[in-house]
Formats: sequence, C-alpha cells, structure tokens
Amino acid sequence: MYETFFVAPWAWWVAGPLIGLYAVVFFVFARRNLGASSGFPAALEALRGADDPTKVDLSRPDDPLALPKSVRDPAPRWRVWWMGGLLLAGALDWALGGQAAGTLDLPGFTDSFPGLGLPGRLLVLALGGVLIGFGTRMSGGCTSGHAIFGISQRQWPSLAATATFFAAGMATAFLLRWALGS
Amino acid sequence: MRLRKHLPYLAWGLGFGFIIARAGAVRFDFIRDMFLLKSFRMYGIIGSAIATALPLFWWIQKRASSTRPTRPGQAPKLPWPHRRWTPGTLPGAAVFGVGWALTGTCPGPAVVQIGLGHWVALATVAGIFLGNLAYESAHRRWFAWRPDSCA
Repeated sequence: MYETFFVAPWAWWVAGPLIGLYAVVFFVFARRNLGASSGFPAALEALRGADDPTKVDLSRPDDPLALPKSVRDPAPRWRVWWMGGLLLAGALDWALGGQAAGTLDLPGFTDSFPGLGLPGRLLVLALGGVLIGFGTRMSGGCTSGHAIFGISQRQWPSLAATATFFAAGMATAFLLRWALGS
Repeated sequence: MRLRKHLPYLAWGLGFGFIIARAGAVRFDFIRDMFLLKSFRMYGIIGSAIATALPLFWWIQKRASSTRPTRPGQAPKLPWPHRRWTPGTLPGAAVFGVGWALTGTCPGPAVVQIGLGHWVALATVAGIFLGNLAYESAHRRWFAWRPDSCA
C-alpha cells in the first residue's frame, strides 16, 4: 500500500486526471491561470525589486517584458512562493522514499550520454536550461501554461505551441539517439 | 499581511510538485522514452489531464457567460484571458522543445528535481534563468511585438 502511493510512480490514469483536476480547482480558487515557466521571470522581477506593489504604476503602460499586473494582481511574487512549493514537494517525495529520489544524477541521464563526464553532462543540462528559459519566455508558456491550461481552455495558440514543442522534442531525442548511439 | 496572502501559494506549489513527482514527470528516462515513442505513459498523463480539465473549463465558461450580462450581439467574455498569437509563439515553442529533450524536464519539474536531490538539476535551473535574461536582451534589441505570457 505504502509502496504504491509513495514509492512507485503513480499509474498514468491516476496522475493525469489529478493534474487536470488540480488545474480546474486552482483556477476556481485562485481566479487565475498557472504556468510554471512564469515563475522564473517573477523571481527575476523580485530580485530587481520591480514587483513592489507600492511602486507599480498601473495607469502607465509598463515594460512589455514585465509580467502583466492588474489591480487585483499587482505583484507576481506569488509565483515565486509557488516555485518554493515545488522545491518542498521534491524534498517531501525524497523523504517519503520516492523512486529514483536522492540520486545525484538524473535517472537514465548518464546512459543517454555515454562517454560524457560530469562537466560535460552539466554543460548539456545548462545549455538545455538556456533553451528552455529562452523558448518558454519567447513562446509565453510551457507544458503547464500551454499544454495543460491552454489546450483545456481551447486556446488555439497554445495548441499550436504544444504541437510544436512536442515535434521539436521528438526530433531532438531521435537525433541524439542516432548521433550518440545510446 | 503578505505572508498570509502568499503562503497558500506555497501549498499550491507543494501540491502540484508532489503530483508531478509521483507522476514521474520529473524523470529524465520517462521524458526520453516519451519522445522516443517507447512509452505511452507521459502521453497518457498529459492526455487524460486535458481530457479531465477541458469539459470542466467548458462548463465554467458556459456558467460564467450565462450569469454575466452581455449586450445582444456581443460575444460573451471568457472568464480567463485570451492567449494572443505573437511572432514568438511557435519559434519559442520549438526552442523550448529542444531544451526539454536535452534535459528531460520542463520548467516546473526542474525545480522539483533539486528538491528530490538530483543536484545536477541546479545546472538546468541556472540555465533557465540565463535563458530568460538572454531573451530579455534579445527581445529589447530585435523584436518589436508585445510578448504574451501565461500570467
């Protein structure tokens, strides 16, 4: 029983509907949409002090790169707290004995890049991270904002974006397997 | 009080992070096998998440537009903001897809991975911050459109 809930990964037909329900319940209670990728610009704004609700002038058209602010949602800092929750969730899963937690490496990562030392693997992750940050900011969403929230709300740009990042991911994965022979 | 306003979001993040951690969306091997079409698992998760949320959002929209007074001939307002098309929507998604396949993680799971003790994910997260900064200067220099975001 414990093994099924807290150690082995949940069956897809349990995890998927739970994520869908989470999206709707979050929207109903928080009255806003969610997107994990927006947490990063929100953290940058918080670091720069650009999200202070007492200083934000809502009447003036602001910096186009700033996260949208309204009277009801003057500061995007809640996104930083939400990301803090993600960090805690990982630690909780680790503490409860979740599968593949507490390994310094990512599960299966080293096997996929044979012959690559730790510095090389870190470089691959950092480069991939830069592409994730640049791409999600340019596209205005990631798997949560575009695929889960966007498609469920029948937002057409989100559907097209989702199809595009799945196609690009597939092409990259097949190309990598062919090039590295892993 | 700021803390009282923000603490619920810590709990929301904890809930989301725990679900995606238990779903296995934080695992490099699961994402790789999804892209290599070796495993149905992640497609099942994303597909059933949308299949659950879509009818519920539809119902919320129906309810909101029937209770909101609208002038005849005027389209009912959506209870959520419209996503706009920008010239960056699709190119950005393609760039993100390459990064997703390289690291095996999207932005949310990257943070969860650090909590899970996959310390190499610190490189991924540092990269995501760098990518955001790079986009900001690239946008200011070359792009004229107003960017859209999931905020």
